[in-house]
Amino acid sequence: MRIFLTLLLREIYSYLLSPIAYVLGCLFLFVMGLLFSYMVNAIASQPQTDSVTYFFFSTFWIPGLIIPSIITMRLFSEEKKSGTVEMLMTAPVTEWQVTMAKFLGALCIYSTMWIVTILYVIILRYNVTNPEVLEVRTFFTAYLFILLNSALLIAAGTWASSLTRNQIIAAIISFVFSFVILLIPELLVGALKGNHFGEVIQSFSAFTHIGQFANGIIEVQPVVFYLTGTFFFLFGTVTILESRKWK
Amino acid sequence: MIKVENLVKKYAGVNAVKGISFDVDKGEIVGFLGPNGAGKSTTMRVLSCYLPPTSGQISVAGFDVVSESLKVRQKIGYLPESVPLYTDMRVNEYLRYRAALKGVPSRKIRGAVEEAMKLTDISDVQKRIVGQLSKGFRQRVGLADAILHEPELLILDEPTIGLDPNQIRHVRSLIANLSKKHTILLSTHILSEVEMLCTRVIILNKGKIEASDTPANLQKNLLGGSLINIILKGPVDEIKKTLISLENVREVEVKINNELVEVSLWTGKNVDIREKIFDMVVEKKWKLLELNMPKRSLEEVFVQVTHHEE
Repeated sequence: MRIFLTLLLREIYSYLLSPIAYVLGCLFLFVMGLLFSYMVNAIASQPQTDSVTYFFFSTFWIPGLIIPSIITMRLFSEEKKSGTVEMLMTAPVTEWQVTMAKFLGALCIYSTMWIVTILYVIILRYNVTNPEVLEVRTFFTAYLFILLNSALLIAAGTWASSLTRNQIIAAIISFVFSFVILLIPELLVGALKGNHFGEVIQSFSAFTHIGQFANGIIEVQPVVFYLTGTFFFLFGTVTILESRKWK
Repeated sequence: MIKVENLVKKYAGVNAVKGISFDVDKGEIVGFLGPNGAGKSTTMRVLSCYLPPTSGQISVAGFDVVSESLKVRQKIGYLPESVPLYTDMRVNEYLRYRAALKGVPSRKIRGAVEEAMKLTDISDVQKRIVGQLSKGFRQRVGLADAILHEPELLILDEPTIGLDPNQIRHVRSLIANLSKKHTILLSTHILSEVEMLCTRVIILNKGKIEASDTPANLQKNLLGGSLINIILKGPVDEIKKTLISLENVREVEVKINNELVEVSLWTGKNVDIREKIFDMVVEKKWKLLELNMPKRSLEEVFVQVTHHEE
Protein backbone atom coordinates (compact mmCIF):
# COMPACT_ATOMS: atom_id res chain seq x y z
CA MET A 1 0.00 0.00 0.00
CA ARG A 2 2.81 2.39 0.90
CA ILE A 3 4.53 1.62 -2.36
CA PHE A 4 1.29 2.24 -4.23
CA LEU A 5 0.88 5.62 -2.52
CA THR A 6 4.48 6.51 -3.37
CA LEU A 7 3.79 5.73 -7.02
CA LEU A 8 0.49 7.64 -6.98
CA LEU A 9 2.06 10.73 -5.42
CA ARG A 10 4.85 10.65 -7.98
CA GLU A 11 2.22 10.57 -10.79
CA ILE A 12 0.27 13.51 -9.40
CA TYR A 13 3.49 15.38 -8.69
CA SER A 14 4.70 14.91 -12.26
CA TYR A 15 1.42 16.40 -13.55
CA LEU A 16 1.91 19.40 -11.31
CA LEU A 17 5.45 19.86 -12.64
CA SER A 18 4.48 19.81 -16.30
CA PRO A 19 2.59 22.64 -17.98
CA ILE A 20 0.15 20.24 -19.67
CA ALA A 21 -2.19 19.95 -16.69
CA TYR A 22 -2.40 23.73 -16.27
CA VAL A 23 -2.95 24.41 -19.95
CA LEU A 24 -5.63 21.72 -20.15
CA GLY A 25 -7.23 22.95 -16.95
CA CYS A 26 -7.50 26.46 -18.34
CA LEU A 27 -8.85 25.23 -21.64
CA PHE A 28 -11.36 23.02 -19.86
CA LEU A 29 -12.61 25.81 -17.62
CA PHE A 30 -12.78 28.26 -20.52
CA VAL A 31 -14.88 25.86 -22.63
CA MET A 32 -17.08 24.86 -19.70
CA GLY A 33 -17.54 28.52 -18.77
CA LEU A 34 -18.69 29.32 -22.31
CA LEU A 35 -21.11 26.41 -22.29
CA PHE A 36 -22.37 27.45 -18.86
CA SER A 37 -23.10 31.03 -19.92
CA TYR A 38 -24.79 29.74 -23.07
CA MET A 39 -26.90 27.45 -20.91
CA VAL A 40 -27.87 30.22 -18.49
CA ASN A 41 -28.94 32.41 -21.40
CA ALA A 42 -30.97 29.59 -22.92
CA ILE A 43 -32.75 28.78 -19.67
CA ALA A 44 -33.43 32.41 -18.95
CA SER A 45 -34.85 33.21 -22.35
CA GLN A 46 -37.36 30.39 -22.84
CA PRO A 47 -38.90 27.45 -20.95
CA GLN A 48 -37.01 24.14 -21.25
CA THR A 49 -38.33 20.59 -21.28
CA ASP A 50 -35.18 19.03 -19.82
CA SER A 51 -34.12 19.45 -16.21
CA VAL A 52 -31.47 22.04 -15.40
CA THR A 53 -29.09 19.28 -14.31
CA TYR A 54 -29.40 17.47 -17.63
CA PHE A 55 -28.90 20.72 -19.45
CA PHE A 56 -25.86 21.46 -17.33
CA PHE A 57 -24.19 18.10 -17.99
CA SER A 58 -25.33 17.43 -21.56
CA THR A 59 -22.08 18.82 -22.95
CA PHE A 60 -19.91 16.44 -20.90
CA TRP A 61 -18.69 14.72 -24.06
CA ILE A 62 -16.90 17.81 -25.39
CA PRO A 63 -14.07 17.78 -22.82
CA GLY A 64 -14.41 13.97 -22.52
CA LEU A 65 -13.42 13.56 -26.14
CA ILE A 66 -10.15 15.47 -25.89
CA ILE A 67 -8.82 15.92 -22.38
CA PRO A 68 -8.51 12.31 -21.10
CA SER A 69 -6.53 11.40 -24.24
CA ILE A 70 -4.04 14.20 -23.64
CA ILE A 71 -3.78 13.58 -19.91
CA THR A 72 -3.06 9.88 -20.35
CA MET A 73 -0.88 9.89 -23.47
CA ARG A 74 2.38 10.24 -21.56
CA LEU A 75 1.69 7.73 -18.78
CA PHE A 76 3.64 4.78 -20.14
CA SER A 77 4.87 6.13 -23.49
CA GLU A 78 7.18 8.62 -21.84
CA GLU A 79 8.64 6.01 -19.49
CA LYS A 80 9.19 3.64 -22.39
CA LYS A 81 10.84 6.28 -24.53
CA SER A 82 13.19 7.57 -21.83
CA GLY A 83 13.91 4.06 -20.54
CA THR A 84 12.78 4.86 -17.00
CA VAL A 85 10.36 1.95 -17.27
CA GLU A 86 13.41 -0.27 -16.72
CA MET A 87 14.20 1.52 -13.45
CA LEU A 88 10.55 1.37 -12.46
CA MET A 89 10.01 -2.32 -13.15
CA THR A 90 13.29 -3.45 -11.58
CA ALA A 91 12.19 -1.85 -8.30
CA PRO A 92 10.14 -4.16 -6.08
CA VAL A 93 6.76 -3.09 -7.51
CA THR A 94 4.04 -5.11 -9.24
CA GLU A 95 2.47 -4.34 -12.61
CA TRP A 96 -0.90 -3.77 -10.91
CA GLN A 97 0.56 -1.22 -8.51
CA VAL A 98 2.13 0.73 -11.35
CA THR A 99 -0.98 0.59 -13.54
CA MET A 100 -3.39 1.56 -10.75
CA ALA A 101 -1.13 4.43 -9.64
CA LYS A 102 -0.94 5.86 -13.13
CA PHE A 103 -4.66 5.38 -13.74
CA LEU A 104 -5.74 6.94 -10.45
CA GLY A 105 -3.22 9.78 -10.80
CA ALA A 106 -4.67 10.73 -14.19
CA LEU A 107 -8.23 10.29 -12.91
CA CYS A 108 -7.46 12.59 -9.96
CA ILE A 109 -6.21 15.32 -12.29
CA TYR A 110 -9.22 15.06 -14.59
CA SER A 111 -11.65 14.90 -11.65
CA THR A 112 -10.07 17.99 -10.13
CA MET A 113 -10.99 19.92 -13.28
CA TRP A 114 -14.59 18.77 -12.95
CA ILE A 115 -14.67 19.60 -9.25
CA VAL A 116 -14.04 23.25 -10.10
CA THR A 117 -17.31 23.26 -12.08
CA ILE A 118 -19.14 22.86 -8.76
CA LEU A 119 -18.61 26.62 -8.58
CA TYR A 120 -21.07 26.99 -11.47
CA VAL A 121 -23.66 25.02 -9.53
CA ILE A 122 -23.12 27.28 -6.51
CA ILE A 123 -23.40 30.41 -8.67
CA LEU A 124 -26.63 29.03 -10.12
CA ARG A 125 -27.98 28.06 -6.73
CA TYR A 126 -27.60 31.57 -5.29
CA ASN A 127 -28.88 33.40 -8.32
CA VAL A 128 -32.08 31.58 -9.24
CA THR A 129 -35.23 33.21 -7.97
CA ASN A 130 -36.96 29.85 -7.45
CA PRO A 131 -34.55 27.38 -5.75
CA GLU A 132 -36.88 24.47 -6.45
CA VAL A 133 -35.81 24.56 -10.08
CA LEU A 134 -32.46 23.13 -8.94
CA GLU A 135 -32.52 19.63 -7.54
CA VAL A 136 -29.21 19.37 -5.69
CA ARG A 137 -29.51 15.60 -5.38
CA THR A 138 -29.45 15.16 -9.14
CA PHE A 139 -26.21 17.08 -9.35
CA PHE A 140 -24.60 14.47 -7.11
CA THR A 141 -25.78 11.59 -9.28
CA ALA A 142 -24.72 13.46 -12.41
CA TYR A 143 -21.23 13.99 -10.98
CA LEU A 144 -21.16 10.27 -10.17
CA PHE A 145 -21.84 9.62 -13.85
CA ILE A 146 -19.00 11.93 -14.83
CA LEU A 147 -16.68 10.00 -12.51
CA LEU A 148 -17.70 6.61 -13.92
CA ASN A 149 -17.48 7.81 -17.49
CA SER A 150 -14.12 9.51 -16.93
CA ALA A 151 -12.74 6.36 -15.30
CA LEU A 152 -13.51 4.42 -18.46
CA LEU A 153 -11.99 7.10 -20.71
CA ILE A 154 -8.85 7.38 -18.56
CA ALA A 155 -8.49 3.59 -18.38
CA ALA A 156 -8.70 3.40 -22.18
CA GLY A 157 -6.05 6.12 -22.42
CA THR A 158 -3.80 4.33 -19.93
CA TRP A 159 -4.04 1.20 -22.01
CA ALA A 160 -3.34 3.09 -25.24
CA SER A 161 -0.26 4.64 -23.66
CA SER A 162 1.10 1.22 -22.68
CA LEU A 163 0.99 0.12 -26.32
CA THR A 164 3.55 2.51 -27.76
CA ARG A 165 6.54 4.66 -26.94
CA ASN A 166 5.14 7.44 -29.11
CA GLN A 167 2.89 9.82 -27.18
CA ILE A 168 1.13 11.11 -30.30
CA ILE A 169 0.14 7.61 -31.38
CA ALA A 170 -1.06 6.90 -27.83
CA ALA A 171 -3.18 10.06 -27.91
CA ILE A 172 -4.69 9.14 -31.28
CA ILE A 173 -5.58 5.59 -30.19
CA SER A 174 -7.05 6.96 -27.01
CA PHE A 175 -9.04 9.60 -28.91
CA VAL A 176 -10.52 6.92 -31.17
CA PHE A 177 -11.61 4.90 -28.13
CA SER A 178 -13.07 8.03 -26.49
CA PHE A 179 -15.01 8.71 -29.68
CA VAL A 180 -16.33 5.13 -29.71
CA ILE A 181 -17.30 5.25 -26.03
CA LEU A 182 -18.92 8.69 -26.11
CA LEU A 183 -20.48 9.20 -29.53
CA ILE A 184 -20.67 6.07 -31.69
CA PRO A 185 -23.60 4.43 -29.82
CA GLU A 186 -25.66 7.62 -30.07
CA LEU A 187 -24.86 7.97 -33.78
CA LEU A 188 -25.84 4.33 -34.40
CA VAL A 189 -29.07 4.82 -32.48
CA GLY A 190 -29.94 7.65 -34.84
CA ALA A 191 -29.25 5.44 -37.84
CA LEU A 192 -31.11 2.38 -36.53
CA LYS A 193 -34.22 4.09 -35.24
CA GLY A 194 -37.02 1.70 -34.29
CA ASN A 195 -34.82 -1.34 -34.80
CA HIS A 196 -34.39 -3.88 -31.90
CA PHE A 197 -30.66 -3.70 -32.38
CA GLY A 198 -30.90 0.07 -32.01
CA GLU A 199 -32.56 -0.36 -28.62
CA VAL A 200 -29.74 -2.57 -27.38
CA ILE A 201 -27.18 -0.03 -28.51
CA GLN A 202 -29.16 2.76 -26.93
CA SER A 203 -28.61 1.16 -23.51
CA PHE A 204 -24.86 1.60 -24.07
CA SER A 205 -25.10 5.22 -25.14
CA ALA A 206 -23.50 7.71 -22.78
CA PHE A 207 -26.36 10.11 -23.57
CA THR A 208 -28.89 7.59 -22.31
CA HIS A 209 -26.85 7.19 -19.15
CA ILE A 210 -26.52 10.93 -18.47
CA GLY A 211 -30.27 11.23 -19.03
CA GLN A 212 -30.83 8.72 -16.22
CA PHE A 213 -28.18 10.01 -13.81
CA ALA A 214 -29.11 13.67 -14.32
CA ASN A 215 -32.64 12.81 -13.24
CA GLY A 216 -31.38 11.18 -10.07
CA ILE A 217 -31.79 7.62 -11.32
CA ILE A 218 -28.88 5.26 -10.73
CA GLU A 219 -29.38 2.17 -12.90
CA VAL A 220 -27.31 -0.94 -12.30
CA GLN A 221 -26.63 -1.56 -15.99
CA PRO A 222 -24.57 1.59 -16.73
CA VAL A 223 -22.67 1.33 -13.43
CA VAL A 224 -21.69 -2.25 -14.24
CA PHE A 225 -20.91 -1.25 -17.82
CA TYR A 226 -18.48 1.51 -16.81
CA LEU A 227 -16.82 -0.46 -14.02
CA THR A 228 -16.25 -3.58 -16.11
CA GLY A 229 -15.06 -1.47 -19.02
CA THR A 230 -12.57 0.29 -16.76
CA PHE A 231 -11.37 -3.02 -15.32
CA PHE A 232 -11.09 -4.48 -18.81
CA PHE A 233 -8.74 -1.71 -19.97
CA LEU A 234 -6.68 -1.80 -16.75
CA PHE A 235 -6.35 -5.55 -17.06
CA GLY A 236 -5.27 -5.02 -20.67
CA THR A 237 -2.62 -2.55 -19.50
CA VAL A 238 -1.23 -4.99 -16.93
CA THR A 239 -1.17 -7.70 -19.61
CA ILE A 240 0.80 -5.42 -21.95
CA LEU A 241 3.28 -4.64 -19.15
CA GLU A 242 3.66 -8.33 -18.38
CA SER A 243 4.06 -9.22 -22.04
CA ARG A 244 7.78 -8.44 -21.89
CA LYS A 245 7.98 -11.48 -19.63
CA TRP A 246 6.42 -13.84 -22.16
CA LYS A 247 8.31 -16.57 -24.03
CA MET B 1 24.75 -14.87 -4.22
CA ILE B 2 24.08 -15.51 -7.90
CA LYS B 3 23.56 -18.94 -9.38
CA VAL B 4 23.05 -19.18 -13.12
CA GLU B 5 22.51 -22.51 -14.77
CA ASN B 6 22.23 -22.80 -18.50
CA LEU B 7 20.74 -19.36 -19.11
CA VAL B 8 19.33 -18.99 -22.61
CA LYS B 9 17.75 -15.76 -23.81
CA LYS B 10 16.24 -15.43 -27.26
CA TYR B 11 14.78 -12.23 -28.64
CA ALA B 12 12.64 -12.33 -31.75
CA GLY B 13 14.92 -14.40 -33.93
CA VAL B 14 18.15 -13.48 -32.15
CA ASN B 15 19.88 -15.81 -29.76
CA ALA B 16 21.43 -13.27 -27.41
CA VAL B 17 22.63 -15.62 -24.68
CA LYS B 18 23.31 -19.25 -25.55
CA GLY B 19 23.26 -21.29 -22.39
CA ILE B 20 25.73 -19.82 -19.91
CA SER B 21 26.35 -21.00 -16.35
CA PHE B 22 28.24 -19.25 -13.59
CA ASP B 23 28.18 -18.55 -9.87
CA VAL B 24 29.01 -15.42 -7.95
CA ASP B 25 29.79 -15.75 -4.26
CA LYS B 26 29.08 -13.24 -1.54
CA GLY B 27 31.68 -10.46 -1.40
CA GLU B 28 33.08 -10.99 -4.89
CA ILE B 29 33.47 -8.27 -7.49
CA VAL B 30 32.88 -9.94 -10.79
CA GLY B 31 33.47 -8.20 -14.09
CA PHE B 32 31.61 -9.07 -17.24
CA LEU B 33 33.86 -8.44 -20.17
CA GLY B 34 33.00 -8.73 -23.81
CA PRO B 35 32.62 -6.91 -27.12
CA ASN B 36 29.36 -5.16 -28.00
CA GLY B 37 26.51 -7.60 -28.45
CA ALA B 38 28.17 -10.31 -26.39
CA GLY B 39 25.12 -10.64 -24.14
CA LYS B 40 26.37 -8.70 -21.12
CA SER B 41 23.42 -6.35 -20.79
CA THR B 42 20.93 -9.09 -21.57
CA THR B 43 22.32 -11.28 -18.80
CA MET B 44 22.16 -8.36 -16.39
CA ARG B 45 18.59 -7.60 -17.35
CA VAL B 46 17.64 -11.19 -16.65
CA LEU B 47 19.39 -11.06 -13.27
CA SER B 48 17.61 -7.83 -12.38
CA CYS B 49 14.23 -9.41 -13.27
CA TYR B 50 13.51 -6.98 -16.09
CA LEU B 51 13.51 -9.70 -18.72
CA PRO B 52 12.68 -13.35 -18.12
CA PRO B 53 15.07 -16.06 -19.30
CA THR B 54 13.93 -18.16 -22.26
CA SER B 55 15.20 -21.15 -20.32
CA GLY B 56 17.56 -21.92 -17.48
CA GLN B 57 17.61 -21.75 -13.69
CA ILE B 58 18.64 -18.39 -12.27
CA SER B 59 18.58 -17.53 -8.60
CA VAL B 60 19.76 -14.40 -6.83
CA ALA B 61 20.30 -14.42 -3.05
CA GLY B 62 18.50 -17.76 -2.96
CA PHE B 63 15.37 -16.58 -4.79
CA ASP B 64 14.29 -17.53 -8.28
CA VAL B 65 14.24 -14.54 -10.68
CA VAL B 66 10.99 -15.64 -12.32
CA SER B 67 8.81 -17.00 -9.52
CA GLU B 68 10.14 -14.84 -6.68
CA SER B 69 11.03 -11.74 -8.63
CA LEU B 70 9.74 -9.26 -6.02
CA LYS B 71 12.05 -10.70 -3.38
CA VAL B 72 14.98 -10.67 -5.77
CA ARG B 73 14.29 -7.04 -6.64
CA GLN B 74 14.39 -6.10 -2.97
CA LYS B 75 17.88 -7.58 -2.70
CA ILE B 76 19.50 -5.93 -5.69
CA GLY B 77 20.51 -2.46 -6.77
CA TYR B 78 20.55 -2.17 -10.54
CA LEU B 79 22.09 0.55 -12.68
CA PRO B 80 21.07 0.19 -16.33
CA GLU B 81 23.48 1.19 -19.04
CA SER B 82 21.69 4.36 -20.14
CA VAL B 83 20.96 5.53 -16.54
CA PRO B 84 17.33 6.48 -17.11
CA LEU B 85 16.11 8.94 -14.44
CA TYR B 86 13.05 11.14 -14.03
CA THR B 87 14.43 14.34 -15.44
CA ASP B 88 11.71 16.57 -13.97
CA MET B 89 12.58 15.90 -10.31
CA ARG B 90 15.23 17.35 -8.04
CA VAL B 91 18.04 15.00 -7.04
CA ASN B 92 16.99 14.64 -3.39
CA GLU B 93 13.31 14.33 -4.31
CA TYR B 94 14.13 11.62 -6.79
CA LEU B 95 16.22 9.66 -4.29
CA ARG B 96 13.56 9.98 -1.59
CA TYR B 97 10.97 8.69 -4.05
CA ARG B 98 13.17 5.75 -5.02
CA ALA B 99 13.91 4.92 -1.39
CA ALA B 100 10.20 4.78 -0.58
CA LEU B 101 9.61 2.68 -3.68
CA LYS B 102 12.25 0.21 -2.59
CA GLY B 103 10.60 -0.15 0.80
CA VAL B 104 13.06 1.78 2.97
CA PRO B 105 11.09 2.55 6.19
CA SER B 106 9.80 6.16 6.27
CA ARG B 107 11.87 7.28 9.23
CA LYS B 108 15.06 5.91 7.64
CA ILE B 109 14.57 7.48 4.22
CA ARG B 110 16.20 10.79 5.09
CA GLY B 111 19.29 9.09 6.50
CA ALA B 112 19.54 6.61 3.64
CA VAL B 113 19.31 9.36 1.02
CA GLU B 114 21.91 11.49 2.75
CA GLU B 115 24.25 8.56 3.16
CA ALA B 116 23.93 7.60 -0.51
CA MET B 117 24.50 11.21 -1.62
CA LYS B 118 27.56 11.46 0.59
CA LEU B 119 29.04 8.23 -0.75
CA THR B 120 28.52 9.27 -4.35
CA ASP B 121 29.57 12.86 -3.68
CA ILE B 122 26.40 14.51 -5.00
CA SER B 123 25.29 16.34 -1.85
CA ASP B 124 26.24 19.64 -3.52
CA VAL B 125 23.79 19.13 -6.38
CA GLN B 126 20.92 17.68 -4.34
CA LYS B 127 18.67 20.69 -4.99
CA ARG B 128 19.23 20.66 -8.74
CA ILE B 129 16.89 19.21 -11.30
CA VAL B 130 18.07 15.84 -12.61
CA GLY B 131 17.49 16.85 -16.25
CA GLN B 132 19.97 19.71 -15.95
CA LEU B 133 22.83 17.62 -14.56
CA SER B 134 25.86 16.55 -16.58
CA LYS B 135 26.32 12.93 -17.58
CA GLY B 136 28.81 12.31 -14.79
CA PHE B 137 26.46 13.56 -12.10
CA ARG B 138 23.55 11.59 -13.53
CA GLN B 139 25.68 8.48 -13.44
CA ARG B 140 26.35 9.13 -9.78
CA VAL B 141 22.68 9.79 -9.06
CA GLY B 142 22.00 6.42 -10.67
CA LEU B 143 24.61 4.82 -8.45
CA ALA B 144 23.19 6.54 -5.37
CA ASP B 145 19.79 5.17 -6.36
CA ALA B 146 21.24 1.66 -6.69
CA ILE B 147 22.75 1.66 -3.19
CA LEU B 148 19.86 3.43 -1.37
CA HIS B 149 18.32 0.36 0.19
CA GLU B 150 21.70 -1.23 0.98
CA PRO B 151 21.17 -4.14 -1.39
CA GLU B 152 23.19 -7.31 -1.01
CA LEU B 153 24.01 -7.32 -4.69
CA LEU B 154 24.83 -4.44 -7.03
CA ILE B 155 24.40 -4.97 -10.75
CA LEU B 156 26.11 -2.17 -12.64
CA ASP B 157 25.88 -2.10 -16.41
CA GLU B 158 28.85 -0.13 -17.77
CA PRO B 159 29.08 2.22 -14.78
CA THR B 160 31.88 4.34 -16.24
CA ILE B 161 30.70 4.71 -19.84
CA GLY B 162 30.61 8.27 -21.14
CA LEU B 163 32.48 9.82 -18.22
CA ASP B 164 35.59 11.96 -18.36
CA PRO B 165 38.84 10.53 -16.93
CA ASN B 166 38.44 12.26 -13.57
CA GLN B 167 34.91 11.05 -13.17
CA ILE B 168 35.95 7.54 -14.19
CA ARG B 169 38.54 7.51 -11.44
CA HIS B 170 36.00 8.79 -8.98
CA VAL B 171 33.40 6.18 -9.89
CA ARG B 172 36.03 3.44 -9.76
CA SER B 173 37.16 4.36 -6.29
CA LEU B 174 33.51 4.54 -5.30
CA ILE B 175 32.93 1.01 -6.59
CA ALA B 176 36.04 -0.20 -4.80
CA ASN B 177 34.61 1.34 -1.62
CA LEU B 178 31.21 -0.22 -2.13
CA SER B 179 32.76 -3.62 -2.54
CA LYS B 180 33.45 -3.73 1.18
CA LYS B 181 29.74 -4.01 1.88
CA HIS B 182 28.19 -5.35 -1.30
CA THR B 183 28.66 -8.11 -3.79
CA ILE B 184 29.14 -6.47 -7.18
CA LEU B 185 28.58 -7.62 -10.73
CA LEU B 186 29.66 -5.04 -13.28
CA SER B 187 30.06 -5.04 -17.01
CA THR B 188 32.50 -3.04 -19.03
CA HIS B 189 34.64 -3.12 -22.09
CA ILE B 190 37.40 -1.11 -20.49
CA LEU B 191 39.96 -3.72 -19.60
CA SER B 192 42.08 -1.78 -17.18
CA GLU B 193 38.95 -1.25 -15.13
CA VAL B 194 38.48 -4.97 -14.70
CA GLU B 195 42.14 -5.41 -13.81
CA MET B 196 41.85 -2.73 -11.16
CA LEU B 197 38.51 -3.61 -9.62
CA CYS B 198 37.52 -7.18 -10.08
CA THR B 199 38.36 -10.29 -8.16
CA ARG B 200 37.11 -12.36 -11.06
CA VAL B 201 36.48 -11.84 -14.75
CA ILE B 202 33.93 -13.55 -16.94
CA ILE B 203 34.64 -13.03 -20.62
CA LEU B 204 31.53 -13.27 -22.76
CA ASN B 205 31.54 -13.51 -26.51
CA LYS B 206 28.58 -14.10 -28.82
CA GLY B 207 26.38 -15.23 -25.95
CA LYS B 208 28.86 -17.72 -24.52
CA ILE B 209 31.34 -17.70 -21.67
CA GLU B 210 34.82 -17.88 -23.14
CA ALA B 211 36.74 -17.69 -19.91
CA SER B 212 36.18 -17.16 -16.21
CA ASP B 213 39.05 -16.65 -13.78
CA THR B 214 40.98 -14.05 -11.81
CA PRO B 215 42.57 -11.37 -14.01
CA ALA B 216 46.07 -12.64 -13.12
CA ASN B 217 45.29 -16.25 -13.96
CA LEU B 218 43.69 -15.27 -17.22
CA GLN B 219 46.85 -13.51 -18.26
CA LYS B 220 48.97 -16.47 -17.28
CA ASN B 221 46.93 -19.29 -18.69
CA LEU B 222 45.16 -18.03 -21.72
CA LEU B 223 48.07 -16.51 -23.55
CA GLY B 224 49.88 -19.82 -23.63
CA GLY B 225 53.31 -18.65 -22.56
CA SER B 226 55.27 -15.45 -22.43
CA LEU B 227 57.13 -13.29 -24.88
CA ILE B 228 60.76 -12.23 -24.44
CA ASN B 229 62.33 -9.44 -26.45
CA ILE B 230 66.09 -9.53 -26.96
CA ILE B 231 68.38 -7.12 -28.79
CA LEU B 232 72.00 -8.22 -29.27
CA LYS B 233 75.02 -8.13 -31.56
CA GLY B 234 76.38 -11.33 -33.11
CA PRO B 235 76.03 -13.78 -36.04
CA VAL B 236 72.36 -14.00 -36.99
CA ASP B 237 72.14 -17.64 -38.05
CA GLU B 238 73.96 -18.92 -35.04
CA ILE B 239 71.85 -16.84 -32.68
CA LYS B 240 68.67 -18.23 -34.16
CA LYS B 241 69.92 -21.80 -34.04
CA THR B 242 71.11 -21.65 -30.45
CA LEU B 243 68.06 -19.89 -29.14
CA ILE B 244 65.61 -22.33 -30.67
CA SER B 245 67.54 -25.22 -29.15
CA LEU B 246 66.96 -23.90 -25.66
CA GLU B 247 64.51 -25.74 -23.44
CA ASN B 248 60.89 -24.46 -23.38
CA VAL B 249 61.34 -22.21 -26.40
CA ARG B 250 58.49 -22.52 -28.83
CA GLU B 251 59.14 -19.95 -31.49
CA VAL B 252 61.89 -17.52 -32.44
CA GLU B 253 61.57 -14.57 -34.78
CA VAL B 254 64.67 -12.66 -35.88
CA LYS B 255 64.90 -9.24 -37.48
CA ILE B 256 68.07 -7.43 -38.48
CA ASN B 257 68.27 -3.71 -37.86
CA ASN B 258 71.69 -2.31 -38.97
CA GLU B 259 74.16 -4.38 -36.92
CA LEU B 260 71.62 -5.22 -34.27
CA VAL B 261 69.72 -8.47 -34.12
CA GLU B 262 66.23 -8.11 -32.72
CA VAL B 263 64.74 -11.35 -31.44
CA SER B 264 61.20 -12.09 -30.35
CA LEU B 265 61.04 -15.35 -28.48
CA TRP B 266 57.98 -17.22 -27.23
CA THR B 267 58.26 -19.68 -24.36
CA GLY B 268 55.91 -22.25 -22.86
CA LYS B 269 53.57 -21.52 -19.98
CA ASN B 270 54.84 -20.37 -16.59
CA VAL B 271 58.56 -20.43 -17.32
CA ASP B 272 61.12 -17.68 -17.23
CA ILE B 273 64.29 -18.43 -19.22
CA ARG B 274 65.82 -14.96 -19.12
CA GLU B 275 68.75 -16.13 -16.97
CA LYS B 276 69.54 -18.96 -19.33
CA ILE B 277 69.54 -16.58 -22.28
CA PHE B 278 71.89 -14.24 -20.45
CA ASP B 279 74.30 -17.08 -19.57
CA MET B 280 74.28 -18.28 -23.13
CA VAL B 281 75.01 -14.86 -24.55
CA VAL B 282 77.96 -14.51 -22.17
CA GLU B 283 79.22 -17.95 -23.06
CA LYS B 284 79.07 -17.21 -26.80
CA LYS B 285 80.64 -13.76 -26.28
CA TRP B 286 77.84 -11.93 -28.09
CA LYS B 287 76.92 -8.44 -26.91
CA LEU B 288 73.60 -8.14 -25.11
CA LEU B 289 71.88 -4.74 -25.39
CA GLU B 290 68.38 -5.49 -24.22
CA LEU B 291 66.49 -8.34 -22.58
CA ASN B 292 62.95 -7.93 -21.38
CA MET B 293 59.72 -9.80 -20.78
CA PRO B 294 56.82 -7.35 -21.26
CA LYS B 295 53.86 -7.82 -18.94
CA ARG B 296 51.01 -8.70 -21.21
CA SER B 297 47.77 -6.96 -20.50
CA LEU B 298 44.31 -8.29 -20.15
CA GLU B 299 43.69 -6.53 -23.42
CA GLU B 300 45.68 -9.18 -25.24
CA VAL B 301 43.79 -11.89 -23.41
CA PHE B 302 40.57 -10.22 -24.47
CA VAL B 303 41.57 -9.93 -28.09
CA GLN B 304 42.87 -13.48 -28.18
CA VAL B 305 39.82 -14.96 -26.51
CA THR B 306 37.19 -13.05 -28.43
CA HIS B 307 38.75 -13.19 -31.86
CA HIS B 308 40.12 -16.70 -32.13
CA GLU B 309 37.34 -17.76 -34.50
CA GLU B 310 37.96 -15.15 -37.14
